[in-house]
This record gives sequence, structure tokens and C-alpha cells, in this order.
Amino acid sequence: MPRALSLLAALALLAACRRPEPPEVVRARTQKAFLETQIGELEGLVARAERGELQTANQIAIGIDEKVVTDLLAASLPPEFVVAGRLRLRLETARPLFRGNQAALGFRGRASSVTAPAVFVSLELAGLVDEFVLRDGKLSARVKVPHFALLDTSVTALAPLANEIIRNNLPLIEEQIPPLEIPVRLDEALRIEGAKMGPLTVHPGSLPFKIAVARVMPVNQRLWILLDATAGPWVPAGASPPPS
Amino acid sequence: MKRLLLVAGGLAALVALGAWQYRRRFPPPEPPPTAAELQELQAKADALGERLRAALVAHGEKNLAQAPRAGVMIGVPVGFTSAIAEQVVTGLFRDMTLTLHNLKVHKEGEVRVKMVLKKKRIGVFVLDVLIHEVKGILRPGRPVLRFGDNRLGFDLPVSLAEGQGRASLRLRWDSKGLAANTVCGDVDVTKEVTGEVIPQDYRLTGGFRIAAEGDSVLLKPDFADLAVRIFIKPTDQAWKAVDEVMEGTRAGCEMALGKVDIKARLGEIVGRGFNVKVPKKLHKPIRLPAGIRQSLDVQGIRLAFQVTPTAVVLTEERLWYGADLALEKPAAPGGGGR
Repeated sequence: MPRALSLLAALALLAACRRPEPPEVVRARTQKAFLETQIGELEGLVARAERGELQTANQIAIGIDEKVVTDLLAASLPPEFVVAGRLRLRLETARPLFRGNQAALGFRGRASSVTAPAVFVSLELAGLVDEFVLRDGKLSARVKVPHFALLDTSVTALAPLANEIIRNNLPLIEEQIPPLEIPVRLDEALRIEGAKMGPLTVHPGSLPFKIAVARVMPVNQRLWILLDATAGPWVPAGASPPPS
Repeated sequence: MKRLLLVAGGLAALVALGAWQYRRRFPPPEPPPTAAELQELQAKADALGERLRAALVAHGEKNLAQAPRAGVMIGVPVGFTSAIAEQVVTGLFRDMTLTLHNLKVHKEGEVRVKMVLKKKRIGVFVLDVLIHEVKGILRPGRPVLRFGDNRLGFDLPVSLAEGQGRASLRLRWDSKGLAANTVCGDVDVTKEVTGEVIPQDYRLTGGFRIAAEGDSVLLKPDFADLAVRIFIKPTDQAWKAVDEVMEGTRAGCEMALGKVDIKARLGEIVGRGFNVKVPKKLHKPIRLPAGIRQSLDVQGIRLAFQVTPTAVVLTEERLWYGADLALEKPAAPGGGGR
């Protein structure tokens, strides 16, 4: 009798749960969502460009190719981490897409049960490069993960559980993904040392730079970061020049 | 048996209710997009991308399209680069001081006067000026800059704006002949005098070659030495000191020393000027503030890159630097990124 009741309950759960969609369907849906967002963003960008609001001639332009970001992410992804004490998540690949004013990052990985490592789901995380910040001469942005999709599972019944755990722990997963740091150096000042050369005395001083992120434009497989930059005024140092 | 059927019926009803609730909360997804639908969306995105490019070009932002192809590209605006070069060079020349010490100037001669039949030597003078210190201050003007051929041409007016000096003036007079010795005698007097630097304008010409070195773009100086000549003009105090020398001698000496014309000789010898060279090695390469980092520390992992510069291109709006990055094998963390 208890066995019959358990069977009935299992059947009820199976009836309620939906089978995960095949990977190609998940991919098509993700692609559609990506393209729709891209079109929306592009329409806004085109309107601004046609009104002449995208003048960048006085800005430092930093462009980084998708390939470089792919390498950076691949080298810096954490080997694996545990989510909510139940799933061991391993991000295996990362692919940036810098097109149509969208800076998207697609991650693929596998989440396995902590207690039964053979039970796993394959998943895809759709990330976005969040706002860039310039701190201590370093330019970096955190990665947000607004969407994810399960692609495949070794045990069908694991899918809803994995789905719930991942959905509830997206902020934690975001924290585990390293910030995207652009390998550029941005100096805050140029210092000139004082000098004594025979009868000449040159006073030391520095030229400060004010650099701030103005805009990010992911287009044509490149991520363009435009920075407002001004130099000066020259600041003479109070110290006396060194002896000759 | 009847009880069992009741339980089973109840459970079946619960299952049906659960399934209905689930469907209501999570309705079946829309049918997936077809390949044609996706193709249409892609075509629309591509068309918008092309329209964006055209709009950017139409508004003068064709410069991004001129960036060299590379893994990482950095475009520094020409105006910003000019502002850096201008402020560094003018900053270097701002209040640059030229200080000369212990300069010795010597002048000697004899004084002859016409006697009844012929000219006769009445004495010998020696005028020694020891300039303890003369200091001039340079001030830069507004430079003229021009870009071209991967070079930033530079033309900077520089003024030797002001300065002063102090010196010891020693006059020795040795009367020759009985009459002169009787009337004047010998004189040996030293006075402290001051002088002012005469302002002069100069022009520093040269420029900077634009070059990529490793992770940076450098403006490499290419200037000639700047030859400065410091001319000194005695101050009123100096003239007064000369007058005091005259007044301090015997009355009969005035004529003899008047022949020496100390003021004229003093003006002549310090007015010839003193050369000072502002050497070209004073100018150091300027590193532009945006460059490529050769390593990053990301969450405890040190990522090192091999940076291969691909091009330095000077366009109308930007100075472009492109480099390809190859990731080296990650190493243990340590220190900061370079």
C-alpha cells in the first residue's frame, strides 16, 4: 500500500513537471531574445547617432576584440564552486558577443549534485557586462547573469531542483564570476623629476589626468570603451630639486 | 476496498489539481522561433548596424573605423596628446633657473694724456669684476604644435624673463710718473655691486617622434640645445658705487679716473653676456597615459601577456596604438599588474 502511494505521488510529480526543452530549442529562444534586445538597443543608438549625440573625437577610445576577452575569461574562470551546498557548478566555456550595442557573455557549464557527482545538468548562463568602473588606473566591470537555461540532464527529475537552486542563487553565481578587467593601463598623473644640470635647475612637477568612463559601445565584435580625458593644469611640486 | 478507492480517487483529484495549478502558473512556452524568423531578426540587426556606422561616419566619427586591427586598440585624441606635450614642456621651462657662479671679468689698460709735446702715460688701471652669482629665470610662452608624419612638431617661445646678480668690483689705479703720483697716487678700492638680467626672447624648436615601445606609446623628444646668453645691466646701486669710488679719491685723481671711464668699461664688460646651454637631454620621453597592461591579477590568478605592437597610426583625430595580446601560462599571484 505505501509503495502504491509512492508510485502515485511520483506519477503526479512527473505529470506536473515539464520535460526540459532540447538544447537547439533553448539556443533558438536565447538567440531570439538576444537579437530582439540588440535591435532595441541599436534603434536607440542609431537615433542618437543621427541626432549627432555620439561625438567621441575628444575621448580616449579603447577597443578590445572578442577573441582577447574570450582568452581572458577562459583563463580566469574559477575551476568550480558549490552553490547552496547542493550543486557543484563548473563553468567550462565563456563566449563574449560584442554586437549591436550589447555586451553579452555566454557561459556554459555543468552543475552536479554535491552528494552524487554522476547526477548533473548542463546549463547555459547568459551574462551581461555591467557598468565599467575605473579605479586605481584599472578598468573593469562586473558580470551580471540575468538569464540561464538548462540544456541537458543526466536524470530528468534533477532539472526542476537544479532550476530552482540556480534561480535562487544567481547573485552568488555572479559573485563567483571574476570581473571583466580590460588589460589597459590608465595613468592618473605624469610626474617630472626635478634636475640640476650645471647652471640649470629644473623644478619638479606633475601633470594630473582626469579620466572617466563616458560610454561603452559594443559593436562589430569589439567592445569600445570611450573615456573622457583632460590633462592638467601643471602642478609644480613644493620640494626643492635634488642635488646634482 | 471502498476506502482504498476513496483514497486513490482523492489522490488523483489532488494530482489533477496540482497539474492544473502548475500549468496555470507556468503556461507552456510559445513555440520556438523558426530559422526564418531568426534570419529576419539578424537581417534587421545587420541593417541597423550599417545605419549606425553610416551615422557615425556622417558625424565625423570615422576615426574609430581607422583604428588598426589588433586585439587591443587605444586611440588617444590628438588634442589630448597635444595638451600633454604642451603642458609637460612648458612645465619644464616654467621658472627654470639658470645660475652662474664666480664669473671673473678682467679689464686693464693705461691712461695717456697729451702733455706739451707728446702724449704721456699717467697711470695704469686694472678693473676686476667677480660675479659671485647671477641668476636668470626662464618663462615659456605659448607653443605652436603641429602633427604630421608620426611626429609632433613643437615651437616654443622662451623668455629669459628676469634675474639679478651680485658682484665685487675692484679698481686698481697705479699712477705713473712723479707728477701723477703727486697729484693722484695709487688707488685700490673694492665695492659690492648689483646687476639685473636683461630680458631676452628665444625660440625652442624641435618636436617629438611618436613611437610604440612595449606596452606604451612614447613621445620621444627631438630638440636641439637651446643657447641662452645672459646679459647683465648694472643697477643704479652699481652706478652709485662707481661714483663713490670717484668721490673717495683725491681731487687730482678725478681727471685720470675720468679718462678710464669706469662706468662705460663696467657696462661693456658685463654687457657682453655669458653663455648658458639648455641641453637637449633635459627633455625626457613622455609616456601617454593610456597603455596596455602586461599582466593582470584576477581573483588570485596572475595573467601575463605577450604584447606585440601591430601599429602606431596617426589620424586626423586620434593617435592609435594597436597590439596583439597572447596569454602566457597563468602563474602564481604576486604583486600588482604592471
